[in-house]
Amino acid sequence: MSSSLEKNMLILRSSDGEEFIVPEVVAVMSKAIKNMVEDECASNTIPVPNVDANILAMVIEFCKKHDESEAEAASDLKTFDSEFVNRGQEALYDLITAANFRDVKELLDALCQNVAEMIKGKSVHHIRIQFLGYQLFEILTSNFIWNIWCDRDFD
Amino acid sequence: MAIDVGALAVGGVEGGSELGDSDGWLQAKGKGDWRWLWWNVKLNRKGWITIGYGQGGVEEDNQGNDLKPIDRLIEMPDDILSFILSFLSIRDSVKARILSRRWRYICSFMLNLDFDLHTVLGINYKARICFCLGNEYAGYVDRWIRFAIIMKTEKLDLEFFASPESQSNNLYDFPCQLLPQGDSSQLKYLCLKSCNLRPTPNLVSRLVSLKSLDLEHVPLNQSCANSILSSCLNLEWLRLKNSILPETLCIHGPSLHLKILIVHECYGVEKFEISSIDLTTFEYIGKVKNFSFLDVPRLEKVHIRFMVAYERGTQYMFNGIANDLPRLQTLSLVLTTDEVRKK
Repeated sequence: MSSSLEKNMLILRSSDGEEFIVPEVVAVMSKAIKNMVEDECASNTIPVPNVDANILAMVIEFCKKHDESEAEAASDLKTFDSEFVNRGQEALYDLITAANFRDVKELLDALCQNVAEMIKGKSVHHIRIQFLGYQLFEILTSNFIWNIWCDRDFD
Repeated sequence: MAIDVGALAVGGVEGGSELGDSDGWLQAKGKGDWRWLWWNVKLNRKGWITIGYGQGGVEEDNQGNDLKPIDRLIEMPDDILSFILSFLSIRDSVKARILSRRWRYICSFMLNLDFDLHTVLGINYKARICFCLGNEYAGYVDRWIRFAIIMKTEKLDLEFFASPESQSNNLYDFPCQLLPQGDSSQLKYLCLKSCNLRPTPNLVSRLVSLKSLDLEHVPLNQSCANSILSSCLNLEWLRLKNSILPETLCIHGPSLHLKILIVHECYGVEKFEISSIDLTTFEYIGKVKNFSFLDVPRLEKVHIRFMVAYERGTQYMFNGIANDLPRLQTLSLVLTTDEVRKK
């Protein structure tokens, strides 16, 4: 490991063992990593448990963009944020968990806002469909199934 | 168990050998007939089967990921959930309660936190009730107003709707007695629609902070008007609209600081007597032809719009008014087309 790498770059290791070389300024956008760096309890490689490579790459992408574009127009960043968080629910929840666990405030803000947008202004019925489908219990107890059941008996 | 698994045949999942995600169609087979149910079967990581049905079937299926179970979201820590809810209005966050039992309690936590200060009263301490309520709901509205006053509301808006024929005893009585006395009173703007405003003891100290008073469909008699005007020591803006007024309405008070007076289409009034030292603007729309400006040295702008044709009334406007109003700068008169034609 070269000394220049030690100074400005950090290596983050995801839960599935993949390593990412990241500039320190970007990595410390995560408060958790920042604390580790400041307390000097971080060796060259910082393990990031419970975040897999896929998600970690996304988080790093987000942090890089935010680090670079500090001077850029806020509207540009906003467009990037809204595109960034526009993902399937699975990825979204993984990202939220990661952002929360690693304490990346900007990312958490953007993600939670996105989830809120999914709820905003929708009817109860629509919220249910969007997030839950219909839960098994409700299907079992609904009249719909009851009707099928009755039909079968009368056939 | 209402579903007989044996009668269900799973179709269309041949490709989905992976346990993670297998979307497919379930066919329910009854005796002799096939029922096609548009179920969306999910096996999530724990091996639970979640069945969702897509409204409109195919269309929902095309959206793909949207039907993923929300378990992961619901399992998130409380602070994340309440953070997500903090982006929503009260209305939406209450709707989101259906998602899980845990959200129910997080919601109520949110309500206590946010409902009071920001969502209901706004950061500017505005309070507004706009609803179809009469005096029969007075208890609820009173409670609400009491709360608004505790929150030091500056602007209070009560907009009720009453049919024009509804009697004054059906209207909500604005509870002046609930307003705090003296300096602790923060209320600056009061707007009442379809309410009664009746003077109560100590009205002076209760209305002293009021700067703007907007009364619409609020019946007033002379003694009532007098006591309100003499109580509102700091009142600068007064509007009376669509209200039932006494035959002769005197706007005067020993310590009245009224600057702007607006009267729009009030009923029952035949004559106005206006005497207010600080009055600068007077606006009137309606049928009254008799105005007497007794002591209005600072009146600069007058706008009058007659709803019916009066020959005599307008004579005064063209001839006499200049004598009574020494500092008049703008006089705008809107006459009916009938009257203009006569001339």
